[in-house]
Formats: sequence, C-alpha cells, structure tokens
Amino acid sequence: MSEQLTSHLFHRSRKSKIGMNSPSPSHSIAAARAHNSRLGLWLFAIYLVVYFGFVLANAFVPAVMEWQPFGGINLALLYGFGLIVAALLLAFIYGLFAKSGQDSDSDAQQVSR
Amino acid sequence: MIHEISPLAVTIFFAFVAITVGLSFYLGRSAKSSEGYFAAHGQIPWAVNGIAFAGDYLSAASFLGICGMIAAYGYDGFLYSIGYLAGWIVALFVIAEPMKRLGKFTFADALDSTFDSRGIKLVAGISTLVVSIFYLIPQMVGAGALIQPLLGLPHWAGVVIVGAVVMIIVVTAGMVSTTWVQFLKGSMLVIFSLVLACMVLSRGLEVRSGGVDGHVYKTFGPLPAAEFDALTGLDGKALLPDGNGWKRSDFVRLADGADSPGYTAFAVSKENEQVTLREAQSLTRAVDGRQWVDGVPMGSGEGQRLLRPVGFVSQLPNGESKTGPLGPIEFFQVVQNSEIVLWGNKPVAHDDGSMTTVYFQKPTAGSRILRPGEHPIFAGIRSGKTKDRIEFISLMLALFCGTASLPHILIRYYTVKDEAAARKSTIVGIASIGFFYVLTLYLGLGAMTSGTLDIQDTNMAAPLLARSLSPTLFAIISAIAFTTVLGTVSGLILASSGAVAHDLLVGFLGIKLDGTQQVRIAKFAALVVGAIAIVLGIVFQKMNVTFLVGWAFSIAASANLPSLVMLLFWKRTTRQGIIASVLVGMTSSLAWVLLSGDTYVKVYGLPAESALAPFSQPGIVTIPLAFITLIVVSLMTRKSNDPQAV
Repeated sequence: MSEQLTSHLFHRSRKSKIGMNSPSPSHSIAAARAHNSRLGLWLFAIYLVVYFGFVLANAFVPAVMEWQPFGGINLALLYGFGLIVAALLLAFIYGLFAKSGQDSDSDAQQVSR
Repeated sequence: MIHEISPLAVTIFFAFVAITVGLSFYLGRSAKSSEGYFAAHGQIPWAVNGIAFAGDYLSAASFLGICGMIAAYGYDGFLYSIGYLAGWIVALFVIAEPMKRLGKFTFADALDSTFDSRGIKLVAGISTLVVSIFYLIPQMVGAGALIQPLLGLPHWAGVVIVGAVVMIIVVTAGMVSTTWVQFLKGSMLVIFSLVLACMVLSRGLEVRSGGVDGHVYKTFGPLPAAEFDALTGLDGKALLPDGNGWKRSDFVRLADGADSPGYTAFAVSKENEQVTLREAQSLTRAVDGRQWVDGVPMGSGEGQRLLRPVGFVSQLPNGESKTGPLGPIEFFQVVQNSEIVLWGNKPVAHDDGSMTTVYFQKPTAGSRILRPGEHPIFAGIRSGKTKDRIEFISLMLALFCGTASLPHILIRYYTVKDEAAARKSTIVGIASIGFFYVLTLYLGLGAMTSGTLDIQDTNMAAPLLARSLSPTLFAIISAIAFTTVLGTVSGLILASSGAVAHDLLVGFLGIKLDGTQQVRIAKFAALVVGAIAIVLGIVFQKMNVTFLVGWAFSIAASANLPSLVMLLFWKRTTRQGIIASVLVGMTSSLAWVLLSGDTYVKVYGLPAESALAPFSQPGIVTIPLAFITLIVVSLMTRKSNDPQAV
C-alpha cells in the first residue's frame, strides 16, 4: 500500500518539476523524497491510531478516562500529555531519519525560483 | 468587572509596536520584489521560521480562549490544545515537503501546480479569502475586547490600532516583516507562559473562602426543606419576596437593609430534602444598557458595587490548608484530590424586559475537573446519545484536519529555502507549539485557583492569573496578549492579499503584471482587507465570535485538505475533480454551520431544536463528502485529461 502511494508521489513530483521547465531532479533527490514520504506515512499512521484511540475512547467509554493507572494521575491526563509527547517524539524521529538527498544549498532552490 | 489600567502595560505594548514597525521599515528596503513580499525570498532560517509558525498559529483563541476555558471548566479546554497540536502531525508528515516543492507564493499555487487551471486558482483563492476572513473577525473583535481592560481605550481604538499596525507591517515588508513579528511574538509567548507556569507551581495551592478581595462567601444549611420553605429571614436580614422572575426554588435574596435596594443572592441546592444556600453574585442589565450588581448600580464609587473576583480551592487533600511549592506531576495529584469552586450562571427574566444573570458557586471535585465533559460543548460525551458522540468526533476531526489547510499557515512553507528546511521548521514549530500547549493546562488551572478570575469574561483568565502573581508580569502578559493578535492578523492579511493579487487578479483574470506591479496590487489588497477587517471588528463587537475560529477550521478542513491530499497521493486526480472538491467542501461546510443549532442559538437567537443540520460540527460529513466528490468527478472527467497525463 505505502509502496504504491510512494510511487504516486514520486511520479507526481517528477511531473511537476518538468512542468516548471526545470531539469529533472537527480536520482538522489527522488530517492530521498520517496524515502521521506514512506517514512512520513508510517509515522502518520501511528499517530492517527493513537489520536483516534483517544477520541473514540472519550466518545464511547468516557468513564475510562477517570481510571488512575498509577501515581494518582488519571488516564485523561496521561493520554492527553502522551499525545503531545508522541507528536514531539514522532516529529523528532522523522527529522532524524528523513533524508535531504542533496547538499543543503543545492540547486533545488534555484529550480523553484 | 472593571480593570485598572497599568501604565507599564501601555509602555511595554507600545515599545513592542515601535520595535516591530521599526523592524518592518528596516526590512522593507529588501522586500520590493514579489519573491520578497510573498515569500521573504525563501531565505528565512528554518529555526526562525519554526518559531514564526508558533507566532502565526497561537492566536488569541489559543492563548486567551484555551486558558480561559480550562480556568472555567477544567480539562475540556485542554482537548482543544490536543486537537490543535495533532493537526501539525498532518502538516509535517503529509503536507510540508510537497507544499514547498509544488508551490511558490500561495496555497492555490500548490493545488494548481500540475494543471495550470484558472478554475483552480479561482476556487482556491476564494477559499483562502473565506477561511482567512472568518479567522480575522474574532481576532479583531478580540483586540477590541482586550484593549479596554489592558490599555483603558474603547473597543474601536483596539481594532483600529491592530488594523493600522498590521497594515504597516504587511505593506512595508510583506512576508519578511510578518515573519519577524511572528518570531518575536512566538518566542515571547512561549517564554512568558513558561515563567507563569513555574510561578503557579512554586505558589502551590491554598484553601480560601473567596477571591483575592478578601470577601468570604457565606453558606447556610443544610436545613430541612420544610424549615426552608417557612423561612422569612436569615442572619438577621429579611428575605425578599418571590415574583418578577425570581423563584425560591432557584434563588433567594437577603435584603441588605431597609435603606438600601441592595441584596445578596443565594443559590438554593436541594438534596435528600435538605437545603443548602450558597452565596451567589448577580448582575442585572436593563434594556437601555444600565447595569446593577446585587441590586445597586455597578461601579466602584460610593453606594456602588462590582462583581467580585473569583476562583478558589475550597478543600485540599487530607484537610491541608496550604501546599507550598508543587512539582509538575504533584500539582495534578493534589488537584485530583481537592475541591475547587467553579461558577455557573442562570438568567432570571424580569417583567420590564431587563435580565438578571445570577452567578452561583459549583463546588467541584478535582477528579471531575481533570476529566473531559464539564463544558457544555463536551458534556454530550457523558449523555450516551449517539448524536453527541458524533458531534465530539466531528470536532476533533476538524481540528486534526484543519491546521494543515489554513492558508496563512501554508504560505509559511514558501519562506524557507528547500524541503529539508520546510521539514525542520515544522519540527521546531511542533516543539514550541506542543510545549506551549502543555503549559496551557498549568496556566488554566493556576487561573482557576488564583482568586482573580473575572466571572463574566473567561478570556481574561491568563492576564488575571499574571496579576495575581505580580503587577509587572500582568503588564508583560497583557502586552503579549495584545501582540498575539498582531502576529496572527499579519499572517491572515498577507494570505488574503496573496489570494487577491496572485490567485484572483493574475491567475484567474489573467491580468499581466510584473513582479513589482503584483506587489503593488498585493499591498493595495492588504490595505483593503485590513480596512474590511477593521470595519468587521467594530460591527461584530457585541457578538460572541470565538466560534468563527471553529468555522474557519471546519471550512479549511473540508475545502482545502481533501484536494491537497488527493493531488499528492492519487494520480488520477483531475482539474475538474479539484475544483468540484474545493467548491463542495467549502459550500457544504459553510451551509452546515449556518444551519446548525449552535449558530441558531448564538447568531439568530432561535432555538437549537429548529436547526436543520442534525448536529453542529460539520467535519465528519463534509470532509469525506469533499473526498468523494473529488474521486467521482475525477473518474468522470478522466478522459478529457488523458493527453496531459503522464
């Protein structure tokens, strides 16, 4: 599934670059985009499950939010703060493993201008 | 409540305005081209851009609205913090890098990148304007509402000052100065929220029987119901008779004395045939606008009265009276096992058309304050009704999908040099915004127990919390609250001016303009949109407009997100599919909110039951509807696009 999506993204990005009358991106940029897109979608899927888990738990079993698993802190607080921490954590993981596929001051900049 | 004016707040605010305007003029020299005006030449460092995201995104609704909602109801306000932050995950993982890659100046650029269609530019430009204007109105009204207590000027002055300063910022240097204003505001907001939160923790919690004015709220009872029914006086004072809207089952009033029209209202709560009377506060408004507090004219002079500040802990765990400094986790453990006095209100209608609002105490267990479902918007999740559950899911979905479709946020992706910088700045944005949202819970609960809350206006919770800690901090936080509006409004005006000049005039109407002309038109558009925003800010003064931010999120999520996502991930998407999806998403979500129970009550003053929309939040229906529209129309129009397809 995600392979397929990635390949779509890859095609689209190539196409748009060509549409802007610019040289087709080097292989490394395309590979980096495919890698980032796949990684992003996996991390997105993880957060999606956690976030809607929270939303659905609140909507259908609100009483569970009063449960105090440990330390006198209820699930509403643990899960709520957990969502914010999870967002940060996933963002950092993405930042760490995403590829730029180019020197930081490459011609990708001029291409879009 | 009437607030004193702090000269320090005025000084800090005008110093900030002077710095930002000076900076704009300085930077204005380098932003003459369209690249400079719309996208700051793509040369903003990613770290600065990340903080500017926070300055752009954390509007008055976030800072004042969320803190106020937590202060009044507890955890429920935090649900907005969670939803608003979650939206950034969509921005980072799905939107950020393609947005930078595909577009140049506006959201329409990205949507239109593969098609070069005037129709897409038109609908995307309109959707940008609709979303931005809905977002602008509450910001401008908020500026007017803030300026009275903070700087002592009338409502219109606040609106005009914000409008004028923002127009100067945007017109002098466009995105360059807008970015730096948002960077300054974002960093100040996060830093001083952290300072406030630390002070809340080091102050700890304390049991009190009233607010900081030292007033002790009286309680009578419990007494047997029969005894209560026969009561003619209490505490040596006479009970005023029922009638003219007053009913003994809800409230009783103790007369101050024979020579004064004043009284003290008590809320009646009945449990197991036992009646408890708790002191309340009342505010009466005549048809002509005159106001009385507890029966005497409102004011701070002789023979006048003001509503008292509120917000106090009535019970701490283990019968303690004061905790001393608390750790960040310990704070919640203590609140969980305490009892805090929240306030409800109920209207009493009188024969002459005047109306009294009685504010009454609601001693609430900490375990209820720290769970969702106390605020009327969220109370539905405990009702067990399917409709209320769908409403809640729909709201959380709109918050999730809305962030990454707000045009004034999306244009910030064009201010950095490449996709890697777009990614890194989003991560910095998530870190600073997430950190701020963590602090909101401490600020809100701190305000809830500060003894300085304004019973009428929860939006003042954060500045008033600061006042309870130190006058200097109050001045600083007040000034920041006001500049919060500046940062967000600048972004909105810039997004709107880009939509008018770049999308509609050049893109749709095909008017040939070179870069300099385009900038000139965009600046003119910024002035027009700014002027419209000032007028709307004054016209809507009397209306509660905070819900317009919610509309903007729902409309953005329904109109913009489906087409953007499908463009990226579905190669059979066609030009017609995108146009139809934006139009259907925009009109259906707009029509839904206009026909919803919420709008019936708040805008038209009609009963919620007569509303045509089955529930108030459109997202759960209109977002999928826009997706389906795009797919169906794309499949139907596939053939005509074939020659262009790769």
